Amino acid sequence: MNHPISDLIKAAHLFSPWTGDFSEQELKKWLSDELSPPPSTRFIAPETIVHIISGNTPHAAWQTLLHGLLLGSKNRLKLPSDVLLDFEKQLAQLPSSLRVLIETSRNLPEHWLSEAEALIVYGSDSTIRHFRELAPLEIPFIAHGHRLGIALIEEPSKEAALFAAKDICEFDQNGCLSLQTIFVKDPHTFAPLLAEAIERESPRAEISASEHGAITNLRHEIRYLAAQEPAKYSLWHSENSTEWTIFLEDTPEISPSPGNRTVYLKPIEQWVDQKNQISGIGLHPFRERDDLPSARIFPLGKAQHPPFGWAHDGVLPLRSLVRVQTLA
Amino acid sequence: MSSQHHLTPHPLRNQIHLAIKAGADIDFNGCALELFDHQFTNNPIYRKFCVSQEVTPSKISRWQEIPAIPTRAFKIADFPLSEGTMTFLTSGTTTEKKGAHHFPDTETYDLAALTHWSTHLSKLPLFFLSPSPEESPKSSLSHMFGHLHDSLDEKNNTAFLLQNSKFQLSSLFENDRPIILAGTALAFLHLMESHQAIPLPRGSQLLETGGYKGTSRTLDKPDFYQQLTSFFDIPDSDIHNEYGMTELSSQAYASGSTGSHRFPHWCRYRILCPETERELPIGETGYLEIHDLANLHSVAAIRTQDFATGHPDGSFTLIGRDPSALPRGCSRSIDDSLTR
Repeated sequence: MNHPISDLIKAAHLFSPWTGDFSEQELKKWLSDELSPPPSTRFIAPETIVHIISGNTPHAAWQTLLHGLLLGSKNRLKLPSDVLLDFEKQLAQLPSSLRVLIETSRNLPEHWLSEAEALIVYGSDSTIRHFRELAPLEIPFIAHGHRLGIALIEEPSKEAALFAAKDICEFDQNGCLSLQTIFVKDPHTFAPLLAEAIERESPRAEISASEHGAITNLRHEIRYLAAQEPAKYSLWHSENSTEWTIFLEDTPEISPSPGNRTVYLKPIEQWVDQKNQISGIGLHPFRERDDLPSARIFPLGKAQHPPFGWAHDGVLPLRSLVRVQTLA
Repeated sequence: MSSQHHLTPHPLRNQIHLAIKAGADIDFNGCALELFDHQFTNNPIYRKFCVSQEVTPSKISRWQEIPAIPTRAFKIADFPLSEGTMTFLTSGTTTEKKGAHHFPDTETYDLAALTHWSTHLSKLPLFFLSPSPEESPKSSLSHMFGHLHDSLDEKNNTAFLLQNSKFQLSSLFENDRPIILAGTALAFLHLMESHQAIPLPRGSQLLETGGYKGTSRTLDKPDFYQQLTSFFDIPDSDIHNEYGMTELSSQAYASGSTGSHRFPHWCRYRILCPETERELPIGETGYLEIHDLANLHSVAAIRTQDFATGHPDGSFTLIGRDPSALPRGCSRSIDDSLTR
C-alpha cells in the first residue's frame, strides 16, 4: 500500500476543521495501530472506494475521504444535491497528487458501483438498504445510519448545563453526533439552568421558514400534551423566537428533535439503553462504564470533538476497508 | 365520560345545518363562538387544552381567538371520544399510529361534502379511482365519494374503479358521456403508468386529491396536470384539486394547475407565522389553521402542518408540507437525492 502521508500533511489545514488536527507521527501511528498485519498476512487496500455522502455538515465527507486517501485508494464521492456546495472548491486546493485520487458527482454514475472495491454509505435506513442491495456482494460495505447523540447527567449543575449547551449549540444539532436528548436527575430543576446556558451561547445560524415551523409545530403539540398530562410534559422556550426549545417528556423513548437547538429532557430513571439509535453518550460526571454498549462514550461537552481516527459507529475506519491476504 | 350524542344537541346541530344550507350570508363569528362554547363545555380533553391556553368562552369575542388543536391530537388518544358509530382513520404506514376521527353519525359531514361539491363541480356522472366505502370503511375519502355517488349518480353501479387494489375500468371505457373522474393523485399516477391514454368525452372533468403521502414520489403540480391533460385529453382548467383531511369535515377546492383553493362559507382560515405563531396578514406565507363549523362532533379549529398563502378574495394558495420541515440529520439529503 502506498500511503500519501506527506501530501496529506501538506493539506492538513483543509481536513482538520472536520477531522481534528493531525501530524505525520499521528498518521503513521494510526496506520500502525489499525494495519499491522498478523504473521504470514498482508493487507490489500481497495483500488477504488465509492463514498455515498449525506448530511448537513462536511464532517462525514472529509473524514471518509481522509480514510480513503490514507489507504492510497481512488475515491469516488457521490455528494448530496443541495448541500455541501463549496466542497468541490475546497477539494481543488488539495495537492495534485491527492486530487488525482478523487472524483465527485452530484448524481451517481452507473459504473461507479460495479467498479467499487469498497462502498461507504452515510444515510437513513432506507438509503442503506437501497445501496446494500445494489453493492457487489464481495466488497466491504460500511454503513453509517441515522443516529442521535444523548447525555446522561447524574449530577445536574450549572457546569453540566454549560457542557450540555455546548453540545446542543455547536453546529446547531445538524450532525449525527449532536445532542438531542438528555436524561438527567431532576429535569425540572435542570431545565432553567440549561435554558440560561443556551442563552449564553453565540446566536444560532439563520434557518428556513419550514425549520422554524417544525419547532413551533412541536411546541404546539407539547402544549396540547402538557394540558392533558402536566406531570408528564413541560415546555421551556425562547420568547417570540424559535432560538431554543426544551421539552420535558417523562417517557423512555428517544426520537429525533427538529434540531436547531431543540432538545428533549427526560428523568434519568427513564434511561433504557437503545444502542442501535445512539451515536454516542455524553456523561457527566465522566467515568469509564462497562454497562453502556454504545459505540462512543465521551465527557459531556465533547460531542462534536471525537478523537482523531475514532471508530465511528464502532467501526475501525481503515481496517474495515482492507482485505487480508494470507501468505502461507 | 359523556356520550357522543350528548356532544351534539339538536338546536346547535340544526343551526349549523342551516348555516351550511344558507349560502355565504351567515353570522360565522356568532356560530363559531356558540360552537366553541358547546365544545368547551362538553369535550373535557379540549377544555383542558383551552384552559391551559387561558381561553374560555367568556373571555373571547372573535373566532380567531378560539384555540386550535394540532392534528396530532387525533393520534394521541381517542379523540374526541370513542363512542361514535363511524370512525375515519388518517392514512399512514402500518407501523405508524393513525389518527382517528369519530362521528356519532355523518349527517353533518355528508351535508357539508355534498353542498360544497355541488357548488364547485358540474352535475355529471361520477366515476371514482378509489375503493368503495364498503371496501374501505375507515377512509373519509371513500365515504365522501360514496355519499356523492348515492346522492348524485345512484344508478351507476360501477362507479368505483379500484377494487382489491386493481383497476376495473370496463365501465369507464364503455361510457361515451362527459363524466367526472375523481381519485387520489397516487391512483391517477398509477393509472397513467400502467395504461395507454384514456381520452375522456369532451366536457369531462377530473378531481384529484391527497398528494403522494407515504411515498417517495415528488412531482410538481404543473407537471402532474400536464400528464393528466395529455392522458385524458382534458384542459388544465377542468382538473380540480380537493384539499381535505380526516381531521376536518369540509373540503377546499381549486381548479387548474395554478388555481387557488377556496373553502365553503362555513369555514374560515388563518395563516400563522411559522416562527412566532402569530396571525399573518393577507399575502404572507405560513401555516394554515382552519375553522370548520361542520366539525361539530370534535373541535372546529384545527392547526395543520401545511404552508399556504392567503388572498384578499378569501381563497388561498396551498404550498403543502415542506419536506425540509422534517427532522434534519445525516440522512435527509441523500433521501432527497434518491427521489430525484
